[in-house]
Amino acid sequence: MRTLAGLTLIAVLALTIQAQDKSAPTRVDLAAYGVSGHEAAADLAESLGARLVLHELDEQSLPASCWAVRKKATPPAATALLGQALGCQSLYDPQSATLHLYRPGAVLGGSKVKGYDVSVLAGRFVEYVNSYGIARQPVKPGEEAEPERTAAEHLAGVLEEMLWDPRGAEFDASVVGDRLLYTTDESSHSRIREALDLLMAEHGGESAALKDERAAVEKLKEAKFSGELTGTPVASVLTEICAAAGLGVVLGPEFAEFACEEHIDFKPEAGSAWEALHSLLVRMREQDIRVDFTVRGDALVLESEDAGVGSGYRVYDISDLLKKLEASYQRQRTAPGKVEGYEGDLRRAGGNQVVLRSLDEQLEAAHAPGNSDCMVFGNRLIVRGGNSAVNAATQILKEMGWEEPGK
Amino acid sequence: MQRTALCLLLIAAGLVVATAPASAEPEVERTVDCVYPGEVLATALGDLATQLGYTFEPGELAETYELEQQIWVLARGVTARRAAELISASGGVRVSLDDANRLLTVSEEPEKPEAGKVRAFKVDALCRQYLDYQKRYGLRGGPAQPDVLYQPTAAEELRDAAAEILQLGDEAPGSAVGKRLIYTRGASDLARLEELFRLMESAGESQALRQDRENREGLKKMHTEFSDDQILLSAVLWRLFKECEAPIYIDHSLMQSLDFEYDTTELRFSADTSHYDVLLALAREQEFAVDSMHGALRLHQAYFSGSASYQVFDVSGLLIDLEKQYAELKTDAESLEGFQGDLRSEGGVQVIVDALCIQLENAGCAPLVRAFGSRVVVSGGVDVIDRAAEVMTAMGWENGLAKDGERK
Repeated sequence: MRTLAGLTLIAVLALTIQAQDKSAPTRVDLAAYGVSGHEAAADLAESLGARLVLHELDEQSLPASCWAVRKKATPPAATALLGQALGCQSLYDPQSATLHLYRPGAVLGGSKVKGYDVSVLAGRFVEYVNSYGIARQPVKPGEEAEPERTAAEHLAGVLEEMLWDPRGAEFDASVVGDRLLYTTDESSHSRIREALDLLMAEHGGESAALKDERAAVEKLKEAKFSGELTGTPVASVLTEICAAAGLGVVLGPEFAEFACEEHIDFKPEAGSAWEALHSLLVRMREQDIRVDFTVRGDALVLESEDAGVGSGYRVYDISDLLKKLEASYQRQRTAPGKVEGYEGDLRRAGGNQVVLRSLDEQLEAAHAPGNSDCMVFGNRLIVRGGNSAVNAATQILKEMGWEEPGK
Repeated sequence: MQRTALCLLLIAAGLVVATAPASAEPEVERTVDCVYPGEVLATALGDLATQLGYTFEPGELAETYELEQQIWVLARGVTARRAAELISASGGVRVSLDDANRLLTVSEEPEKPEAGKVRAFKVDALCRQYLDYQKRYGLRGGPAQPDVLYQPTAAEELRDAAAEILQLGDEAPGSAVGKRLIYTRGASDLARLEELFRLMESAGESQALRQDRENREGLKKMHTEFSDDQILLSAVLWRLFKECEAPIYIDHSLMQSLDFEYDTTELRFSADTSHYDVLLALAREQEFAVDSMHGALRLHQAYFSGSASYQVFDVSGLLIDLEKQYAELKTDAESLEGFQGDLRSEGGVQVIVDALCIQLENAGCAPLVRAFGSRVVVSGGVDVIDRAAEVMTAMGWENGLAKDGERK
């Protein structure tokens, strides 16, 4: 009887192992060292045991050079990184064992509609407009008044800017009362939810993408790099630097073309991987190759600055700063009717635009590396950009009188 | 005594029933099996005639290309009339049954609608509902809207809405006379109009949509693995048709854009994928729509002709809610970023229609969406209508429909 039970157990175990063999792997290596985009996609599909399906794309429309290196990535992470390297959208469906590639802006399969109740944020915006909103100029004869927008419509516009991804999904919001409706894939819904949560949070906060970038920069700062590379493609140099910090590297299609072709001698002074990376980026900047980077799934994604790969941002609560500014404008009021006098207030000065304008000017003057965009929604200010740009913005805001929460 | 008389009466009645001639029994309509997936039209018609014991006369279409075309119909145990309708729809011809002479004939599709009868519909309640809507949420006309030249009465607006929703075409338009709408059309169109006006009052799903829901149930139970890399489209369709419990056919509008000999599908399905999912995935890939017509599932590309599959949404509750929301979004100053409007200035029900259209388009479908006062009609198969209901729910609409699709 025992023998029979033992044999049954062995048979069950064997079947289980066989079944596991057939199922999709839990970790895969992404290893595309300058191969064509189609070859890289086909290789990943093979590793995943999946079929490759191109939607409104063909072999020729994928980049000629693809550089994507990341060891032991989860299938979704590897798929997302491949999309970054190819400059298109990618989706791995384990159910049908299919790796889908879509053109940028296409609606991915499995999109769902979600309605977001933004009544609290809309209410705050109404309060802001009532307190500090710029006065409307009377419409001149023969001119048409600008169409009015509700608070929720203003919010939809800000979200579009915050979450804009030139190579990702395009999702149009519908504004119905104080709800925003989006029909998009699950990852885009997560980004919308995150943005709304950060706008709602008492003191704002940083997006997960920005936190990931900070963590990766810390790893690069902690890692030592002392390689001496001669006649090596830029892409390989970057891979070495990132590998020293245990990070993968993915080059966007525009930068990959240059980085795979250009061979350099690279002998940085012994220091951290971050210093080595910085010195390489400065060296390329001298050749007029301006590169920006972001972090996805423990891999550095580098692409030419114009492509706008960065998706991190920080939300600042500037309500206290606005109160301070209102008081300071009040203090600067003079008796009426004086040539050098001032009779205005924060509302007349532009409300939150006072902060936004100054921040834009000072960020430009600071030459903060990488792209950055600043936008406002009532008493929330958003800086979209990489780690350095956000640090620079925080410093400028502090100089304006903004205080870090909890300090 | 009375009991004995009653017993005798019952026995007599029983004897009468038992000995009544067979001809007095209600005649059961004869059913046929249409197993014609990928069949040549002439062969299918010949087979149908044989099943009925009729003679097939091809008439003017004899030896023409039309009769050599393929049709895709699979419907078991359907009436002869229904079989003729399905074959007609798939073949793009008109199949007629002449019971008196036991003839099955075929001709080209008639260009003009069938000769009809005149019928008037009293639409007082719908006119009242529309006027209530206009008074509360309707866009201001007159000097504020100098470009709006066409200002229809409630009945005229309803006539225009019905023509759009049911895709009645330019022939035989309806006439609005006071609070009556008068149509001279065939019996089927009049029945569709009657159903639409009824549902416009109560809200709910059309009979064709309910039939569509029922037809799809069987497909959800079936699971099959199609695992080859390059599967012929016709092979997948064949499997779907063969195992489909409900009648199913490919409409002529789609037959012309598919190549059953060479077209392949990129799709691959696991064992837990239902036939229903396969059908919807194929529809997305090959860009066709699915709904139900003539009691059968219809695969088609006839986006602009006479589907009767739709749902009427009552959005009066949502409008009240939105009116409140827009009031809360008002700012109190003449501020540059401020908002001084209300639901009326934002477009009333058009706010809902616009959102519905954009979100459905983002989901890859573009059905006909038409509002009439506080009623919004979305046209399409179950998959489209369910998506529309999801969008409506996301807007804050609450479903007030009972399980049978009628308003609670």
